Amino acid sequence: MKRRKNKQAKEPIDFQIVKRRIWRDRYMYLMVLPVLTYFIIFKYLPMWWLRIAFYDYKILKGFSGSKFVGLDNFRVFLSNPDFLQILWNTLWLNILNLAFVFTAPILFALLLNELSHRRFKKTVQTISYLPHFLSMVVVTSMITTFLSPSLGVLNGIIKSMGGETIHFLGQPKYFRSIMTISGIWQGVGWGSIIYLSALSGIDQEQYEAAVVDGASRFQQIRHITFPGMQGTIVIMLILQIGNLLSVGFEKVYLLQNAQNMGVSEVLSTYVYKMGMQNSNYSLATAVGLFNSIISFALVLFANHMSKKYSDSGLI
Amino acid sequence: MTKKFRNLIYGALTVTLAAGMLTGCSSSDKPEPTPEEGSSEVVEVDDETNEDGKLFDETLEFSYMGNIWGDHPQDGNAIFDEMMERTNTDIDFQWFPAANYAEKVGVTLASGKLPDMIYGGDIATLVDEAAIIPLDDLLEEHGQNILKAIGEEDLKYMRHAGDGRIYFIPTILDYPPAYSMQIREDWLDNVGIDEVPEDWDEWKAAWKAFKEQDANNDGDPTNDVPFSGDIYSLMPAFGLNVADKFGFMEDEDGNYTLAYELPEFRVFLEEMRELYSEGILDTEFSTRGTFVDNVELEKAFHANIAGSSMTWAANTRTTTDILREIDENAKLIGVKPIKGPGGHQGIPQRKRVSGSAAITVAGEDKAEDIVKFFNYLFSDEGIELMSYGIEGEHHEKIDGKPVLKAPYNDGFEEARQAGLNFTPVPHVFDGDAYTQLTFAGKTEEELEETTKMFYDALLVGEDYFFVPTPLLNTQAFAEKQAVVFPKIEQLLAECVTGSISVDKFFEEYEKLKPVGLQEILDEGKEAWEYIKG
Repeated sequence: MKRRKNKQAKEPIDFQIVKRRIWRDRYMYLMVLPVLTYFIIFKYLPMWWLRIAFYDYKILKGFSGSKFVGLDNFRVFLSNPDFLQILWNTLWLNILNLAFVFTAPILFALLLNELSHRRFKKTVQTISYLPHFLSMVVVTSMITTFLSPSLGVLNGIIKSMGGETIHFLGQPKYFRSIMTISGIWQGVGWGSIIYLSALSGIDQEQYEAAVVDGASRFQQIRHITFPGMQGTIVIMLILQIGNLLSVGFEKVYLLQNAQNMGVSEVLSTYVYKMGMQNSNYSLATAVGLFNSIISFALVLFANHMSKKYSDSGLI
Repeated sequence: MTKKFRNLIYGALTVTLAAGMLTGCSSSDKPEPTPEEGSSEVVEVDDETNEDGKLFDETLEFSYMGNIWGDHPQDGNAIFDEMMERTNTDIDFQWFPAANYAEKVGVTLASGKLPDMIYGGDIATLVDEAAIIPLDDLLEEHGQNILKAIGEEDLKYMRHAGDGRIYFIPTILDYPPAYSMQIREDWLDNVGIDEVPEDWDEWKAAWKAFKEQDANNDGDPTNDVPFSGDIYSLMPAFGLNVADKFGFMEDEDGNYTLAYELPEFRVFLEEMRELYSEGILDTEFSTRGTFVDNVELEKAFHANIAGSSMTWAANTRTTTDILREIDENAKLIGVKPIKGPGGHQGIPQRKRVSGSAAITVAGEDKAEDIVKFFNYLFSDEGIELMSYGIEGEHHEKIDGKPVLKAPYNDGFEEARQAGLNFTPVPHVFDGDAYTQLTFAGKTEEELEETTKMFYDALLVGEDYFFVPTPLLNTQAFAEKQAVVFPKIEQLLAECVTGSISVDKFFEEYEKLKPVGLQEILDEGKEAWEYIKG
């Protein structure tokens, strides 16, 4: 088998066949072209600039005018007294994200799938998609206003029920819950689309057979619907694990204040402050590179575990 | 897809990527200067106009990046048209919102495509990146009006802490009153306090009464915020004369230091913790306040829930006017600054020299003419144009003195909308023009009640004004401030809210010294000694 493979690999390429095949599938390649161009321009070419992390980089002087500092930027970041706290904050938010924000669309898709009233189902779907289209600045303004201790609706309700006002964004213990709940609200509808499409691919005859066999609604979900979504869930989970160190920057940054900074300072906000506010591009790139390497390792690990236990994975 | 074909695709991708990387490499190693399209030669003119009465024979073109806020017009105005007409210049203004402007400067810097002039931004970073040029020689040769307007004393503070050179052309307003301590007089009446509080105990008693007696009379005893705003604005009552959230100040011996380094700070911290635990201090102190977010502070006042604060004197008028639409008795008045437990009393005065625009390396070729242009703006004619507008249109001469005409003298809003007092562009704003705007074209006797309140608020703390210590952009500050100061802010908030003890605050504060704080303090001290000579 091995020998045959090697033999095949050494065979000369028949360019005529290749050309014919490319021409045959030209429209497919044409469709792929914009995506490919996007990835090359915005994902691969910028990788060249990762070497900024190893320089004391001065934008207007270029690499030739900037000093090579090796791993100094990484040392500076790792020796930051808040390094572990920032890492922990990032992980915590993502673990909560994984546990709730990631699972909510799955449950939502399952629930929608069970709805028989078509118009009601469409209405619920449409309403649930809406928060996804709001800009993050609008969302955070809404959250801030809604939760304000002096002018917010929620505290108005609490007071009307005899309770005391709570400065939700000023108390670190509420920050992660706010991030998680608002994340569910924003993403549950939009995130469910992919699972609904997976559900639409399940053969309806399986349900009919299950009904004939006397399976209950719950048993149908457990033994037909859920396994039908499993492949999609695993892929989404692997991708999500790859983002364990990448919290959406805008929302955290816009909801951050000195009172909740102890739990709200995450890698992305730190990178932003270093890079954009302090113009320390080298340190910001070093932190970003550190983030990417860990994320890449996590994706590989998740993929390996997935293949080991469920026989499905990305790579 | 056959393996051969797959290999071909891999090969093609590899070549494409490698080519792309090489392209990126070849273009990345060189600094990218800004294209100087339309650059024109100019005739050297020393503070004099040519035969046509213009500063330059050939049009001087340059680009100017700045942040804009409030009522300042973004799309040009008659005063700017006149300014460019008189000098024969064509300025390409690129305005950006004040919020997140620092980030915009960072992005512009990162793009490598600089405008010819840049307003604001972090000077230390701009100098460190070699993005702006020193102006000492140019000012000496072509900017005598500018140097004269700045004056010897303020010139020292304009020098860059790192190399002692001047990089900016400033905006000058020689009118010290700006802020005042403010309290709702009608709230005092509502809780039965006849006298305006003066010392710390009297203030605490008033605040407590506001808290306990539903001072805004809306039937909800829980929504009154006795002191609204940030805690930094209360520091001067404890002898900590700071005027921003960084906390730099001069100690008794004239050393440049941080408020946290002084023994008075512990007393201040203890008191703030007490005020917070009693519900007197604004629970949102870290997100609204004069030195944190003035817009949010105004919202609290306009919502009729804030009882007192230290903020812009103009707020007495605007807030009272707005509140009177719902409560005719509303009255926010300016009062003397709080006399703290140690007898300290202080309120920051307006910095005479503020704002700043630098010439970037992209504008280096025309730097001489740009300086000449601003030298014109700092001449008597330029000062009159920027402060009073065009004669006949914005002002008229009475006894040889410019007097603003209606509607431009109605207040700062109308004046700024017309292009007067245009702070994002360096100029001298005449103190008398400021007074005319404050008085809205009236005499003191003719002033409306709320305008009179504003005028009184400006001057009520005059005896206690202090000159804010400038923020020295040393190398250490530029490099470490993003790590150090947010952490101090966080510790401070945690300590005031009771999450950590006062001792823990100082323990954590000390831990910041080895990671940059000590360096910032040392370099600042050294730079301050150098500046003060």
